Amino acid sequence: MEAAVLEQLRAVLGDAGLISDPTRLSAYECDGLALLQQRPAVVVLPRTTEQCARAMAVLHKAGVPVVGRGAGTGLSGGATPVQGGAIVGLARMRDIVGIDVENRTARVQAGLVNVDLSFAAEKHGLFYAPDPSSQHACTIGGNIGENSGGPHCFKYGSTNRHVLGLVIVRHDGSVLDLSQPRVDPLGYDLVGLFVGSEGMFGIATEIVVRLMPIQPVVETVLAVFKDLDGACDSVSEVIAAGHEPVALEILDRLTIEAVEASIFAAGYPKDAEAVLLIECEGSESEVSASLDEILAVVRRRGAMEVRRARSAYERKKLWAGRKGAFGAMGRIAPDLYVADVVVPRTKLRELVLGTTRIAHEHGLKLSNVFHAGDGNLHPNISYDRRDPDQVRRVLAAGDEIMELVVKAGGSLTGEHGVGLEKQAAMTQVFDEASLRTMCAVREAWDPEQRLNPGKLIPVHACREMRGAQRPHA
Amino acid sequence: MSTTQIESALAQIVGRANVLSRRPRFDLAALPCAAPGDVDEVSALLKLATRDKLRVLPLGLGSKLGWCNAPERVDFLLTTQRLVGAVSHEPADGTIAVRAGETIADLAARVERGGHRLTPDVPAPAHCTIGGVVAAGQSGFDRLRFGPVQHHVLGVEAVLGDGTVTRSGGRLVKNVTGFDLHRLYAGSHGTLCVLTEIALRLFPAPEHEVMFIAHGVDLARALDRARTAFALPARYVSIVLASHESPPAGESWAVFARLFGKRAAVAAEQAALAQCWKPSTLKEGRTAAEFAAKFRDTTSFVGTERASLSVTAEPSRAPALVVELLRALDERSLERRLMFQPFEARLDIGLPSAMDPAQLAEFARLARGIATRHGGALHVRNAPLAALSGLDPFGGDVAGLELMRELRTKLDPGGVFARGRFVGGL
Repeated sequence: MEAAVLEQLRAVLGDAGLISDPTRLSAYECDGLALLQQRPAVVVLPRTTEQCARAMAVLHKAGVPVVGRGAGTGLSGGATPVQGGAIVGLARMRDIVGIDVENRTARVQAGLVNVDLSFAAEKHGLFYAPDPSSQHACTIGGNIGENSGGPHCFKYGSTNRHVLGLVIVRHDGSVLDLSQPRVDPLGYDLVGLFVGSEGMFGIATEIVVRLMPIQPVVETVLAVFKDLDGACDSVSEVIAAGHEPVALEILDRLTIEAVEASIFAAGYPKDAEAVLLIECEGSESEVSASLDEILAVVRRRGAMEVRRARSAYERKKLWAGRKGAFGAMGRIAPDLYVADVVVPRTKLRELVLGTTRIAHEHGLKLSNVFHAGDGNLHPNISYDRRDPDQVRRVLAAGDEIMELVVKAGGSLTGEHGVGLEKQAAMTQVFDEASLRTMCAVREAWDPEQRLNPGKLIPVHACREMRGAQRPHA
Repeated sequence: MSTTQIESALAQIVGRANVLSRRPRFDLAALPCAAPGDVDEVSALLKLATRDKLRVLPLGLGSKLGWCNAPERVDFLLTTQRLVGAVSHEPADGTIAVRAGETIADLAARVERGGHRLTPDVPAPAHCTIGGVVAAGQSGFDRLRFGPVQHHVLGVEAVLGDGTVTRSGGRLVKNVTGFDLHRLYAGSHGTLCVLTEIALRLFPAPEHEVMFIAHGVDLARALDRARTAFALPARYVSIVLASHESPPAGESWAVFARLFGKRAAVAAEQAALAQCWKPSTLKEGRTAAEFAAKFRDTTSFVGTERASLSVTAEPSRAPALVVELLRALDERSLERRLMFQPFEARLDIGLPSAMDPAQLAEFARLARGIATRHGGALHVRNAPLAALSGLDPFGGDVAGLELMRELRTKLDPGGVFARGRFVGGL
């Protein structure tokens, strides 16, 4: 990057807000998809919207591609840098600007760590519903980029149902203030459209979110199964019967073993083939009525044992195992490929079996931990990226899993986004006309297509596809 | 092209029997209206419009055309009313994909057969289509429980101005594949595309329901009742305050609180609520459902016989907004026809059917000023064109308007969809 551009950025951000030496830049070479790496030319770390806007104006004038980044926990390569490009990192923008208890909203900077908002809101009897497994690290801004979910989104919906307003720094450094919450959008729903745009429309710097009241009664139950089918069929039946628990999560045997051998040990029975974590919340009557019927289903479907959390501590422990599952996989192999696909909830059993079969055919070790209530599977393949043959087989298996799921009426991603990982597979889901339409919308936001170029849309007509260089695998 | 030539060109695509005559607004003259039978015909009609530089106004059954301003120019209308029927219905998965011209009434009946209940629960369901409801961003009376309509649209098929058929989203309850263009199309009032197919999330049909009604209370007491109810751990479908009395102000408000769900849960919630306020009237089961439907249809100022104002505010300031607007109504000796949803921060004001247009415009401007001061906005619905001279029905000062114009230009570069109807002249 030209020295003059760096100096202009330094003038805006100061030394603390600029990284340009290769050693420190290496920390930004990839996000959670470590298979794809590219060193950025510079990392800018603004502290305020105004700093971000000024830095973006400098990058715009210099024609530098920009990739936004929260905490880098994304799993689809959405924050993988572009060669010669800048990373605009939001890690220093982590203030809670305010919590409006009466209106049940919070205004936060985009770099705020997800769980910190719920911690802050708890004393007001409120919480922030989207809860990705990485919520102790990921940022609200990153969640907006990917329209992230989490176990409790089964009932409460993904991020796009909780964002009420945004301040967006656009491609040229101008600031678009859409932060006034509206009962209904005034004009086109720009806020709704922005959520899930994977950093290709702008950089969200401040966010107004909806907070939910903490429910008076929460019941968490662990149902233990001697086979994975029983757990899957339980979920399909619970959904078909119209029950509305808050979360329905399944962990298979391999995941249970890894969790129980790790610091996230939750007391899951090691001889189980699968466990189903069920959570219901609401009024006492609502929870009681719903849970009794759900437990009748799981028993009928072969649950060997049903454990109810008897205290907040026990509940937290059960969830710690689920949320720590990805981390625990490090005990199986040094690297983890976390697939993220959604299947019709009537086909859970057959598609879980199908993904397992694909991994076995490639000689790979696959474990399952997933948001069963939403049909959002996470087939996890443990591997060692130092072995090129394993990497090849992992990628091939990932492609086959996506193909299997799409053929069965599923989708490519439920919460991780398309990024680089699933870009090529977009043609399995959308025809060229639909992808061209996405391109057109993107061009309205970013006419030069410098924001997160080369991601999500595999349309050859798009300038990004002509100009972008795929990072090295 | 003359009207006769346009009708002839439309007939070549959809057949003579499917070239109708419709008004682009209730107070404008009728124009040719094509009723295509499938998405290919929709595409062909829009390609015709692109080729011959014709301006098109899409509609379902036209029940919300009066929510918008008059179009600058329209050559023909395009109704989706023949696009009916389910494309896929998966009761066990809680999803349905349906053609956009299906009426809400037919769609509600269809999903009920699968053990579900349709949201949004909008007024006059036999007279509006799911496509029209989504295109207008019309949420239902059940919004308190289920949220706004755009939260339940899983994906769409849409035809752009040049006839391109596109898709966004899918048919699954969770999906982040690609940009959520359906969020852009929802509420765009037919200025960006014609919606031809819509996938929706469904919710379980309730086992039981009840409606608590308190009549004859003043606003303060009505609000107190509503707050007391809302503070209980119950999942309300709606809490609505309504006033249909003429001034002077009196004990003219009624409070309606609706609960439904699992029988045991509703019974417990009902018992808890009954301890807080004794209802003047209590409706249960089928009676409650029928009453709720009637209440929805008679309280919502549907139809074009009278104009209405849909006013929003920051939730905590909504009661103050109501007080201020009541004063403004009383000062003008205007009847009180009000529906207030305090926890959605929305007030609907029905205006007199023969209101002088100049007086209507003056009052709407005043009310918009009050709404803006309370952190909200105001939408003028079904006002005669004479009242809309210099009055944007949606409000002209909108953040992001330039970007909206750019989005419109990108998606409809030929300017096929009639302009001038939506926010800021979009």
